[in-house]
Amino acid sequence: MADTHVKTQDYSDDQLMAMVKQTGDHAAFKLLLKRYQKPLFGYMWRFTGDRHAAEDLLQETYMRIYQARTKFNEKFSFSGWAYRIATNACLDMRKKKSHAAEKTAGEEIITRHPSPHAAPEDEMLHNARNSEILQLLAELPEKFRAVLLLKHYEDLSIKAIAAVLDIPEGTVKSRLYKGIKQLTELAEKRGLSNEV
Amino acid sequence: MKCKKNDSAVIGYLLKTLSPAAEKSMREHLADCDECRARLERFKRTQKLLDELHTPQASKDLVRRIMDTIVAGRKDKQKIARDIPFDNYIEALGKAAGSELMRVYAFLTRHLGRKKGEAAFDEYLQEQMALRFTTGSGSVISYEDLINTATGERSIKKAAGQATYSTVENCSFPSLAEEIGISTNPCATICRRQIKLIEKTHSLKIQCVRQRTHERGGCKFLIKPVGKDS
Repeated sequence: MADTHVKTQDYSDDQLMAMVKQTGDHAAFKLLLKRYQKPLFGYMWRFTGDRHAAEDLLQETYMRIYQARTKFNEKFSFSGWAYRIATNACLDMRKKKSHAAEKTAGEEIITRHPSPHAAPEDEMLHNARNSEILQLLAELPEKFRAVLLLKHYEDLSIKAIAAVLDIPEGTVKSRLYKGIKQLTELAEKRGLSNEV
Repeated sequence: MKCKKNDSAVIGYLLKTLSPAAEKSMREHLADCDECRARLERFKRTQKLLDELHTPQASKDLVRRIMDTIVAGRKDKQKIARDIPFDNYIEALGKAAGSELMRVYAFLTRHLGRKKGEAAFDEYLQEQMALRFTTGSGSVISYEDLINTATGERSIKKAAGQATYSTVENCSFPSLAEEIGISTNPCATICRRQIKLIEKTHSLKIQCVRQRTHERGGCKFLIKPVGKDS
């Protein structure tokens, strides 16, 4: 196992995923998980504003990737595929939460499960700025938020974002512009822009 | 005079998503248009604001835990236990025990008739209440404690004249019965039978002086040692 680990270090993400696809190679998959842990966790944390939710989503994403390994298409990048699965996991979680909220008495769900953005992480309590920015992001519609996060923090190209979200490039640009505009207006309304 | 360029063109320029020709045109336009330069600065401030976000790190052993799940061959969506507060586990276990109790009561009375069913249930309850569970770390949780967790937050007060009152707030039994679709009124059946059992095993006389569980107000019991009137 150790030998495999050393060898796999030199492989690209796509090569590693091809190995996982062909043989279910655990060492290769573990290396992929390590490489993507930081960016995917960060993406999902910014998407949800909740550390525990992001960890659950990261696990969900990796499980989905492993379970769907034989469907991985080498024509596309592993990175784009991973972000697509991660985004779907975030959106699915939101749907499940909305569904649960509909099924439960409204007042109770608000009391028991406040929005993750309303209750920032313990470790972040001292960081009011972080909470304010997360609040702003949370107020953006999800379709704008996803595009904006992928562009600003993950530094994906418009073409790559279009592939991740399976939407036309024109739609990516339009959502990105609207997202930035809306975020700017929200930040100004809260007096946050002036503090930068 | 108001500039006719829209915000999208300015944002596109900022994000470098315009075509080379559109970018050149915008650059030239910005040199002459104060309004668009101001808009550009406005959107730049938003970018800077986003840069201020500090992202936390995921748990260090997360990858190991995920790999353990995969290596173990569990294809289902298994949740990784994180630091769920102990009290939450106890509350969930209490509710599980409470709902089980109601199901057993409903099953026995439905199949044996009320009288025989309740007699069988009393026997079952007596055996259950004597159960003790030892955890891996060596602590012991009794079944009675678990059930007490489901039957709400308790407080015991000794009032003047040696009378002891036990107050129960937020009992979850009525809502549990509703959730699992059992028509039994747990106050009149399960709780009453539990009280009888406690009276017998602890030589006490327990009198329900206030029963308002359904309104989430809580119940109040007067507890007296057997043989004493007050």
